[in-house]
Amino acid sequence: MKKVIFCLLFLASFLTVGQPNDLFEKGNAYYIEGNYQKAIDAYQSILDSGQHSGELYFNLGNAYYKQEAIAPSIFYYEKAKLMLPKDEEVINNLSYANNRTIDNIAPMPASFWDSLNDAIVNKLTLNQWAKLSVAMVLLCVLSFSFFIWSDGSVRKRFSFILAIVAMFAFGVSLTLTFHKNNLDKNNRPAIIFDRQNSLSTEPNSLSDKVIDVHEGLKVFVLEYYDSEWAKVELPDGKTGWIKSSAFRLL
Amino acid sequence: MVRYALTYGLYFLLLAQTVLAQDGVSFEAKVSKQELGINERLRVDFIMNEDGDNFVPPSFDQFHLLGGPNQSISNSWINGVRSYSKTYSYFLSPKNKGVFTIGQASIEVAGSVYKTQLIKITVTAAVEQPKDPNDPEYVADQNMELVAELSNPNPYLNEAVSVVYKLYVSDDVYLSGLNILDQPKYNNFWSQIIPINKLEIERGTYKNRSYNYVVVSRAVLYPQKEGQLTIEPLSLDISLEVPSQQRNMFGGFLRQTVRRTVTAPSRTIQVKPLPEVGKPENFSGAVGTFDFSMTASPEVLKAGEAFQVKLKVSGKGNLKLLKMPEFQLPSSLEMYEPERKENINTSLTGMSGDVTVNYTVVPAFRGEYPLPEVHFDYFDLASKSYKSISSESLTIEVTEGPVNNGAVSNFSEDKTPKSNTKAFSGFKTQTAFQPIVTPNFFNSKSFWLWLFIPLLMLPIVLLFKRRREALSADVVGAKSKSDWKMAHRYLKEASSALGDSKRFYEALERALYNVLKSKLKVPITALNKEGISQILAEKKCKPTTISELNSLLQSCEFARYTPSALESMNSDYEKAAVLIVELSKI
Repeated sequence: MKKVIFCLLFLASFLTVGQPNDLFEKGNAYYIEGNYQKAIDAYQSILDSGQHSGELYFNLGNAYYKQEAIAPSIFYYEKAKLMLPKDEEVINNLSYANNRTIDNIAPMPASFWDSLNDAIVNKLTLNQWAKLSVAMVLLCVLSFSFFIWSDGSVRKRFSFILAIVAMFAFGVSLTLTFHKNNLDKNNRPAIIFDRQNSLSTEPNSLSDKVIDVHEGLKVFVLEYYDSEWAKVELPDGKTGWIKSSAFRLL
Repeated sequence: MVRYALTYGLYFLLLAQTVLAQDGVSFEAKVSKQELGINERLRVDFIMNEDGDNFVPPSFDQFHLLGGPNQSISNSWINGVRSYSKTYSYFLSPKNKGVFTIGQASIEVAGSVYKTQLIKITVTAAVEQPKDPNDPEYVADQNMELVAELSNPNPYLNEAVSVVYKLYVSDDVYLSGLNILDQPKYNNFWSQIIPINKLEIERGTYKNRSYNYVVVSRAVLYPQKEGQLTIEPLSLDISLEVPSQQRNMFGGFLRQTVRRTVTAPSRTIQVKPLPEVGKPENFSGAVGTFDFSMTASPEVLKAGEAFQVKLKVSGKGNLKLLKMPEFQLPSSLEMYEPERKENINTSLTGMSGDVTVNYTVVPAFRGEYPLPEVHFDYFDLASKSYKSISSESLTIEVTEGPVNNGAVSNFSEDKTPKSNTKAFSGFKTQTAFQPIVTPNFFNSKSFWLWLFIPLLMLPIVLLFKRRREALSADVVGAKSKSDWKMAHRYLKEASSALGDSKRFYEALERALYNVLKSKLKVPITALNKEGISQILAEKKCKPTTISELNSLLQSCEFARYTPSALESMNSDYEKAAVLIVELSKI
């Protein structure tokens, strides 16, 4: 039954595949005209239909940038960067948008572990790591079976080495899968949308201010309290509480 | 009744005494008043009608003796009747409040001693002494008044209040000199004294009386505190020319110059707080009527050049006191300390003019920089409500220069921009959509299945391998097994070709040979009828089985040349099946 539904959904996706592209074209046409609000509406309706792409987020960011809406433009550029991490246009326009932010917060230098994580763990997404683990298991089992069944000594030696390597790779990639899962859970970037707000030392509006923050600043959510307050970390490592309505999670 | 009798009795006695004295000597004590204030003076006279000797005054312990005794004698003859009186006068002032007695004085006349009666004096609290209308100081005080006039005794916080000190002088006196002793201190006010260059006398009415007045001092005050505030008084030293009682030779009054120190009464101001309703969050405290603008020039420039942002507040109100709205810029624009310029005139009605704050900004990178809207909030006194003016949104376009690459590189110590001069990129035209909500593969059921099923396969593979190794350990067994398979296959083929005798017997023969091959474990070349019978006999096979096998093989050979009937084929097939079962038992 599940399979049937899945098949139907798959077919349905083929039927509707034209619509988001049409909307995308429409949005681009509005963008060229300079009618940025209509372009935003068109792009947004694609998102509402449950479809997205890095390019869509990029165009949305551009439309908001042209409308001089700092926070949404940075928000969508960051989303585009998540999907197209190596796209130079995205990085370039994001830096244009970041020029407009008011806060001047020097980031902490990346620690050894952070750079190691970036160099290895963050190269693949969580699902890619999971799939790699499965592939390594399959490779390991297949090559081991081949080792068992094959006759020639060269073949046997080769398949044995392959099986051992695949097993090692499987162990590493499975560990990294869980590590990546952990990282993703603790890595909740968000963009400040309030024009001006401040971090306070406690989750109430009476406590002392830590620092003022302005729209467009990227923060990392550490924890929530009461669903109304969130503890966030700034790029320079300062932490404080802010109303969770002041930002949007990426 | 008894009281009346007593008082009348007393009067009678007194009358009798005076009547007695009439024809003889009288000696009396008289006081100017029996009841007096402590600040007043008392005159006591002792009067006698005969010249006596040895006058002994009473002791005036309870009083200060200010003067006396003064002796006066009057002697007159009228119609031959001589009247004589001699008076001793004392001037006293009381020491304390209370009831005191002036004791008896005595005198000796013609050898007999006469005494005065006791006099009771009541000293009360100080009484106001009536002024002498001819005293020049009194006249001066009556004919001038120093008044502090407030424009609004009940202002809002930071609302301008003017205070004007006026010296009113009536027509009867002339003001000849004026010196301010003490400028008032306006605590809790922001104050500006508006200087008076030249004193000018003007006409005005005060308390329904026409006066000449002169404005002595004036100031604009902006209350800085809510509640009741007091303005300290102003003190003046003035010279007035007052007409005196003396006249000159032409009959005109002579004038006398009087110096007086006058102090204006202190005034209180009740300052109202600004209403809390609708108070903007970051209210700067501006009260009045204002206009606000923000301008930038030039609006198009290159990176490294400077542009100016000017915030200007103009109008009427507490301009010198107001906080200019804060102005924040993106961190990528370098902003220098602002320069504040004031162009303010202060008059009695308050401050008016404008305040300008000039920011110099240098962009380091190219791009479009929207300047944030700036709001200026003030309390409008006319409508008694808060008003907000927003600046127009401005955009600074930096056309040339390096691009700030990387979201954070401009924050780092190294501010040298890299030579990346990429322009802002437009939109992308090609895309491939994917569903936003992708099922998470990690931790899903299929993930774990995919992970574990291959691992479970490993023992199975191993098991198979074991089995195969066990089989391949006796190669013959493995071979006979495959021969059996062949036999079954051929027999199956034979049954399907039951109608066609030639094909049927070929298949049947092949099936039989295969069975033999697998069971007897001999190569196919050794399979002829004699050999088979010999081997079967060696295997202790039943002779009937051997003969049957032989006959069946024979009939197979015959069938190649002569087609046989369907019935014989059926019987041969069953025979073969029985034979195969028999042979399998070997």
